[in-house]
Amino acid sequence: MLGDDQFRVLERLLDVASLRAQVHAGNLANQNTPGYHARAVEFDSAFRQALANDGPDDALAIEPKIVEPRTTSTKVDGNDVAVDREVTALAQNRLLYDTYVAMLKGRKDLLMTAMSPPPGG
Amino acid sequence: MGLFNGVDAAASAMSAERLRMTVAAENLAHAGDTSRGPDGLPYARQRVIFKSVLDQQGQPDGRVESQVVSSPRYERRIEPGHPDADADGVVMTPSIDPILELTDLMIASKSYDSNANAVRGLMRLHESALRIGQSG
Repeated sequence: MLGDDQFRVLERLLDVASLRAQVHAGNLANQNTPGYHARAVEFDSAFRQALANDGPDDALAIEPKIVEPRTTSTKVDGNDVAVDREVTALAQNRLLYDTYVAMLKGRKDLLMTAMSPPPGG
Repeated sequence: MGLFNGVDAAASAMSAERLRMTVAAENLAHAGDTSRGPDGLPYARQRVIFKSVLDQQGQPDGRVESQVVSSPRYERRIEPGHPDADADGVVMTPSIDPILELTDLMIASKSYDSNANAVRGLMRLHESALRIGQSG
């Protein structure tokens, strides 16, 4: 029950959201570093696809990848961090993180209820 | 990647940006400084260079390294009788562009703020994760 698929999927999503927060914070920290290329975490689309087509076991085998998308314009110093994008990515990620936490906590509370003695016992 | 990598990265960037602000303020303060040091030259304009810290795999780990280098450039004018004039009556001042220094100051201050906000956001993530364990 504790190690069921939903728990493991949520756990993995939380892990990746945490990694993503670290990566985007690193981008923000390097917004003035010459030659630095912004990095991003690639995971969601592959995970979603595997979860839909092959089931949780295959999906959980997918590891997040740190990539340099290089889709933003590069400044004269060779730096391509777009601060507005990084800030919105962090904000979006924070909401997702809170969602996963709420879902995990909901499932945990359900188990706690099941385990607690009946009222008036 | 650890729990506090992002916080470390932001902290390193904050100290780098603060150094940049200090250096810009110092440059501005010395703009009209004609006094000569032991090498016979006035104050040399300082600049801060930013570099990414690399991990063992040679990938940037998010932190920023800052280093102060001096880029001496001087303006000369003839003013015999000035206390800091040399034998030929030449007075030297560091060549400092206030617009350059002030824009540097502004950019550094904005970047400092954005990193401070990132730290606040990361801290909220960790606090949020702690809620899983709470009852009720």
